[in-house]
Amino acid sequence: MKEKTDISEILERKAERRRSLARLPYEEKVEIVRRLQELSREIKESRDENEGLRRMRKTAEGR
Amino acid sequence: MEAEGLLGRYAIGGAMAAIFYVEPFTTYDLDIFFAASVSGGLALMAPVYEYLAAAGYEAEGEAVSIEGWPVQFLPTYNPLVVEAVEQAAEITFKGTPTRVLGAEHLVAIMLQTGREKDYARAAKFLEEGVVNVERLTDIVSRHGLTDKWREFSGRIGE
Repeated sequence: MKEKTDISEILERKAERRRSLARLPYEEKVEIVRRLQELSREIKESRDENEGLRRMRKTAEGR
Repeated sequence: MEAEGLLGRYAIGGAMAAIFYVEPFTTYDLDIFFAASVSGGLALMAPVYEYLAAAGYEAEGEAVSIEGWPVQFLPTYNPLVVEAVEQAAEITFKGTPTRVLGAEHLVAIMLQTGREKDYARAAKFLEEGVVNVERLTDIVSRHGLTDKWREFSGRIGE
């Protein structure tokens, strides 16, 4: 039987990363939020672009 | 605006206040809670919107776009929010003094609002240990939120 992989160390590191982000100065956190907003916008734009390409491909296949 | 008498005492609330205490997460707007001495619905906001429009910041729906941030001005709408603004923490942002709602009041408001995302945020506050549980218990008991607090504590195993 396969043994379960212990990921507790990974989870603890992730928790420590969250704690260190929480300790950042407010100004730095606000800057991170701005970058997250940009990233989110880029992902949405890319999704919309891919959706357009998918529709075009589907239309071409239907011909 | 507070100094010019346009707004009563104000403080940053909502997600941007939460980010003061916990790790940053994606949010798109900035909520400003302000003490309103009179009730007047949206008419209460007219002088604020006029002042901001004169400074070049236009209204976008229910918010005003200020330096790329949709800012929503919300009058203190119940006793819990009134108290939260009265007791907000004084901070500075890039050298400018401002205020942010206290961690315990934010969690109490999250419990009161009661959406799933509020509970998730409240859980984060407790996980990160940024809340004084004794102070929070006092706030929830004074604002009729003890049942919600018990239910929430049961959910997260506090």
